Amino acid sequence: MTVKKRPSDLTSLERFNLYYREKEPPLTAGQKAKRFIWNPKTKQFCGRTASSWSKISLFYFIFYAALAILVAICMWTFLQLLDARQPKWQLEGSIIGTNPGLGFRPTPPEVASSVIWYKGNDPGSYQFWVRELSNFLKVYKRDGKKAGAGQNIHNCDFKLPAPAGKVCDVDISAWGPCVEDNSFAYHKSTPCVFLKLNKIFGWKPVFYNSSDTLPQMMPDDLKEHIRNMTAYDKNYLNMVWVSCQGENPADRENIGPIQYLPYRGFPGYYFPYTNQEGYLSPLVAVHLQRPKTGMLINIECRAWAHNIVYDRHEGMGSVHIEIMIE
Amino acid sequence: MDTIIETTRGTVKVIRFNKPQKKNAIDGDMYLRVTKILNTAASDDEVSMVVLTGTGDFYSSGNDYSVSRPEGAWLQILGDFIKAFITFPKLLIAIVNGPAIGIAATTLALCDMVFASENAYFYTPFSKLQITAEGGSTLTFPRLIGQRKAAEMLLFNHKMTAKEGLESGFINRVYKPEELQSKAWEKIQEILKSFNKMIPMSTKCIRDGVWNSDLPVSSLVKGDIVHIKAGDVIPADIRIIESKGVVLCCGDLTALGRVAGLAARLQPEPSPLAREIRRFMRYMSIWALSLGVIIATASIILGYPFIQTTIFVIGMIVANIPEGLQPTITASLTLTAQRMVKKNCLVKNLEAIEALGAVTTICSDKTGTLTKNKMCVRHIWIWDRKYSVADPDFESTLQVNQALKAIKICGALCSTAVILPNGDIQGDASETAILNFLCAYDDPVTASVHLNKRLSRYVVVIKGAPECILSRCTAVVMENGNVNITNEVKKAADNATEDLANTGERVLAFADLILDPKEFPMSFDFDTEEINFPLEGLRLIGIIGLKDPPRDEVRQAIERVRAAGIRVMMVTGDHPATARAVAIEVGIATTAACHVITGNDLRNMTSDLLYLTLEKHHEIVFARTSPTQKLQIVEACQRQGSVVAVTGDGVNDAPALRRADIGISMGITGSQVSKQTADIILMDDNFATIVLGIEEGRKIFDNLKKSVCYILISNVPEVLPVFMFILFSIPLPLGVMTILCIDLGTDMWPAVSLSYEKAEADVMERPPRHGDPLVSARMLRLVYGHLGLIEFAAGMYAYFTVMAEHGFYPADLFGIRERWDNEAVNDVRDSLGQEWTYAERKELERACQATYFIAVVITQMMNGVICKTRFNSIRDVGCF
Repeated sequence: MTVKKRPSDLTSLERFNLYYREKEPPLTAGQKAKRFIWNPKTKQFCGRTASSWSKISLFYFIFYAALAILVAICMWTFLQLLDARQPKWQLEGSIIGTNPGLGFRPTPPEVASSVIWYKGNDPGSYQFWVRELSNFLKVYKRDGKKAGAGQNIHNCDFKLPAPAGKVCDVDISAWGPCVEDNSFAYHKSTPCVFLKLNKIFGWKPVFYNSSDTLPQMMPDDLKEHIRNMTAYDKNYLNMVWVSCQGENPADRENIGPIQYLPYRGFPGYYFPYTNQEGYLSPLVAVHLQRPKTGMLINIECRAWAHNIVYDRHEGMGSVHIEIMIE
Repeated sequence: MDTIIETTRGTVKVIRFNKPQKKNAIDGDMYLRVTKILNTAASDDEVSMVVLTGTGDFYSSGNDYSVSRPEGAWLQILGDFIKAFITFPKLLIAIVNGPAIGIAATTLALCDMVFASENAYFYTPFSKLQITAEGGSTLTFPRLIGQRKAAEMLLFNHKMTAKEGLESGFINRVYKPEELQSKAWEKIQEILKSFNKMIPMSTKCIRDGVWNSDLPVSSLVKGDIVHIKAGDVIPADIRIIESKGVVLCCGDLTALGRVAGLAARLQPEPSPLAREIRRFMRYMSIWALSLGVIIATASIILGYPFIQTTIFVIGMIVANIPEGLQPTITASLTLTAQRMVKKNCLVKNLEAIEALGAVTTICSDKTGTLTKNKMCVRHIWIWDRKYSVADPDFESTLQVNQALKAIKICGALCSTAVILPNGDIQGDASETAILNFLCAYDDPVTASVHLNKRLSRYVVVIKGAPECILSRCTAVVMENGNVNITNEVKKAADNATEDLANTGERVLAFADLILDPKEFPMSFDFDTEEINFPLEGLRLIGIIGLKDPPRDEVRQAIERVRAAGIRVMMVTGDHPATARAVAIEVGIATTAACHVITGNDLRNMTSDLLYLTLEKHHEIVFARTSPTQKLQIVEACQRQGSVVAVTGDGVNDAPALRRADIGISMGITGSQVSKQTADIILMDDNFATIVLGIEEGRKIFDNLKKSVCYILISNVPEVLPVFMFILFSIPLPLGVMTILCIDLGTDMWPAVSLSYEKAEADVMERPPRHGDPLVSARMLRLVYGHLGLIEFAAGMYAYFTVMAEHGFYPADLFGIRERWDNEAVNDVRDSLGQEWTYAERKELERACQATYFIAVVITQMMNGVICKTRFNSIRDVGCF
C-alpha cells in the first residue's frame, strides 16, 4: 500500500517545489466550470477519467442490478405463496371488514363529486350519463358471443340458488324504464340510478328473518313493502333491502316517488362472493319517477341487513347521491 | 513512642493520633498536646490549616479509659480541648481513616471539612455509658444531620457508616481506604491553591508622602510612587525614578491594558465547525426547498387541494432537514467538554474543542507551555570539564572539588535574590535558579558561616557574561589549587561557553578575587557605582549554564501532533539560540538548521514574503517577537488556509488568542485577560493536554459525520415514495405523519447516540481534515446511492406485501391513484374483485404506511450499526 505523503513528512525543499509547481494562475468561475466539465490536461470529464467513469458505472450497474434482482426474487416468491383466487386476509381478518359499502352508477366525471347533473331537454347533456351507464352495464348484457362466461351463468331464484361453480344471472333487460333503449329515462327528467353492494370475499348477509323484527330506523314504506312481499312469499326475507330517501325534509319533498327495479333489494342468492368466474354484482335500479327539476336533491340510499352497520359520517352501509336536473 | 505526631506540610499542620495498639484512643497527654498544637497554630501565620488523622485503620476510639486520669483537672483538660476546636480560626480538616468513636466523632462535627474512608463509621454511645454527649454535639449534630438522625446517634447509639454520613451531610467525601490519603490531600492542595488566589495583589507605595506597605494594586492611582524590586509584578505603567516608580497610567490605560483592549476589539473567525454546519445547512435547505417546489408543482398539476399540497411540501421539507443534527452537535460537544474538564482542560467555547480537531497549525509559546517556566542550572563547567547537573553521579564526582565550593560561595554572595523567611526565593529567574541549585546541593546557611570566618579580608565576587569575566581573569581554580590562565584554558572556556550557549542555555561565569587586607582594611568604603576596587586579575571559578527545561511529556506530545499532520511552530520572545535549542529539544525542529525568524526579520517582511516563508519552511521558530507580531503570524497562517491554535498565557498574547481559531490559555500561569479571551484553558499548563484535545476534536467530527450520514439515509425512503406516488400513481406509501415519526421520533435518538462513539483507531494518524467537508460527495453516494435505496426497496417491498395480502396485487396498484383517492368512489376493485369503500381504502393505506415505516425503522437499525465506524472494522467496535 502506498501511503500518501503528508505535508509534515515533506522536506522544506519538497514543499517549496510542490508549491511552485502547483501554483497556477487563478481561474475565473467560468473557466473553472469549463475545466471541471472537460479537463484536457488530466483528460477528466466531470472530475473523472474515462476509466474511472466506466469503473464506477460498472459498479453501480452491478449494485443496482443485484438490488433489483433481490427485490424481484423476494417479490416473486411472495406472490407465488399467495392464492390467486382468494385474498390472504378475509372478512374480519382483513381491513375490508364485514361491512360492505354501497356504490352507485353513473359515476360523476369530477373528482370527489357525487352530483348527477344534466339538462333534461339537452341530449348532449344527458348523453354522458347514459353512456356511462351503458358502459357499466356492458358486462351484464348477454349475447351469443359471450359464450364462455355464459356457460357459467345460472338463472337463480330464491328456491333455486346457484349450484357450485356457477353464478347467478343479473338480467337487466326487463327493468322497465331503466333500460338503455329508453336512455335510462334520463331524457324524461326521471333518471335511473343503479345501486350495487360492494363485493367482499366470502361475505354473507344476515337477513332479517321476520317482518316483525325490522329495525326502528327503517323507513315505514320499506317496512310496509317487506310485509307485503313476505306475506306473499317468505323467501323474500332473504334479501338485503335497499331504501333511498331525501336527506333533508326539503329533499324528501322534492324527490318524488321512487321505483326500485327489479326488487327493492339484493336477493340473497347472489351471496357470498367467492371470486367465481363471471360473477355479477346484483343491482338495484332506482327510478326517480317525478323529481323536482331545477334544484339539487340530496339522496341517501341505505342497505339493510343485520350485519350491515350504518354510519353516516364514515359512509358505512349507505351512499350519498346528489341529483340536479334542469 | 509519640502518641501524637505533629508534622508540617508546607503551610499545613498535620496532627496524627498515633496509638494504634489502643485504636488511637485519646488520653490526657494527647488531649493536652492537641490542644497546644491547635492553639499555637491558631496564632501562627505560617499555618493556614490543620489536618487531623490517625495511624492504622482506626481514626480514634475516643476517650482512653485505661489510663489513670489526673483527677479534678480532667474536666478542665477536656474543656480546653473542645474549646480549642471551637475557637480554632483557620481551616480544620479531618481525614478519617477509620472508625471515629466518642469524642473523636463529636469533634468531627467541629471540623470544617471531613474526608472519610469507606470503612469508617461514627459511633457516639454516650447513653450506653450513661454520660452526657459532649463536645457541643447536641448542638452541632442536629445542625449538621438533622434532629432525627442526631437523636438516633446521640441517644440511641446508632452506628453511622461512612456512606450514611455522606448522605446525611456529616462528612464531605468518602474515598476507598487505599485512596483516602492521596485523594484527600489532592483536595487539600486544591483548597490551598484557592487560598492563594484569594490573596489580593498588593504593592508598597508612597502616597501623599505616607508610606503604604500593603496597598492593593487595584487602588493605585496616577501619581503614587511605588517601590519595586526584582521579581515583583509591575502594578501599573510607571516611570522609574531612582529605583522607585511614579505611576503614570493604571488599569485599561496601561500599555498592557491597551493590548487587552485590542483583544476585545478583534473579531474571531467563525469556528470551522460553525462554517461547516452553515454550509451543510445551506445546501440542505436549497435541496429541500427545491424538492418542495417540485412536489408542490406536481401536486397542484395532479389536482390536489391546496391543503393537501401544503402537507406534502411540509412533509418533504421536514424529511430533508436533518433535525437530529443540532442535538447531536450539542450532545457531543457537551460530553466532550465534560470529559476534557476531567483531563484538566476547561473548554469555554464548546465549538473550540471540535476546532481543535481540525487544527493544522499550532503556534505555541515556549515559556510555561513547552518548558517548565523554571530556570534551573543544567550544566557546570569547572576547569576543563563540563558537568551535567542531571547526571546522577554529579554530586559524588564533585564532592571534593574545591571549585564547586568556590562556586557555591560566589553564587550565594553574588546574588540579588533573597530567601524569604518561609523558604521561598524572591528574585529574577536566573538568580532564583542559582540559589535553588545551591539549596539543592548545599545548605545556604553554611555558606554564610564561611563568610564570617573570612571577615578579616574582603573578597570580590563577580558573575556575568563569560566574555566579560574571562577577559578579566588571570587564574583559574582547579580541583586542588589555582593555575594561571593560559591561552589553552581561555580557549577551553570559550568553547565551553559557546557549547552551552548553542544548546540554548543562559551562560554565566563566576570569578572572585581576594583583596589584600592591607590595601583594603575593614573600614574601606566600597562603592559599586564608581568602582574603587580592582576588577582585574580575577580568579575564574567556573561557568554555569542555566536553562528552562522542557516539560517531560512535551516531546512525546509534539511527536504525536506531528504524526497527526499538524505543524507546530514556536513563537517566543526569547533569544533565537535559546528558542532553536528548545525547539530541537522538544521536537518542533528536527534538524539544527530549522528556520528561525526573529522579530526584526518579521518587521522587515512584507506579508507576501511571510506567506512564502511559511510555505517554504515547515519547521519555523519565531524568536524575539512582540505580541502584535504573534497576531501577524496567526493571520498569515490563516491566510494560508490553516486552522490555527495559539497558546499563550500573558496579557500580550490576548490579541493572538482572540484572532486564532482556537485560543488556548494556561490555567496556572495564565493572566485573567488571556483566560477570558481563550476558548480553551489548560488547567495544568500542559502541552500534552492539547493532544488529547485534538483527538477529542477529531472524534467529534468523525462522530458528527456518522450522525449526519445516519440522518441523511432516511431521507431517501422518505422522499422517493412521494415520487412513486406522483410518477406511478400508486397509493401513497409513506404519509407525512410517518415521515415526521421517523425524523423526529425514531431517527433522532440513534443519531444523537452516535456522538457517544469511541474514537477511530487511526484518529491521530490522519492528517487534519483539510478540505474534508462534513458531507462529502462520497458520503452522499453512500447515503443516497446505496443505503437509502436499499431502505427504499425494503420499504416498498413491505408496502406491496401488505397490499397484496389484502387483495391489491402490485400490478394492479399502478395507476390506481385517481380512483383510490377519490372520496366519492365507494367501490374500488382489488385484484380479487373485492370492492373497497373510501374509508376502508384509507385504512389499508395507513396499514401499508405503517409497514413501510417499520421497514425503514428496521433498516435504519442496521444503518445505525453501519454508521458506527468510519474506518474501523465493526468486529473491533462491536455492534452495541
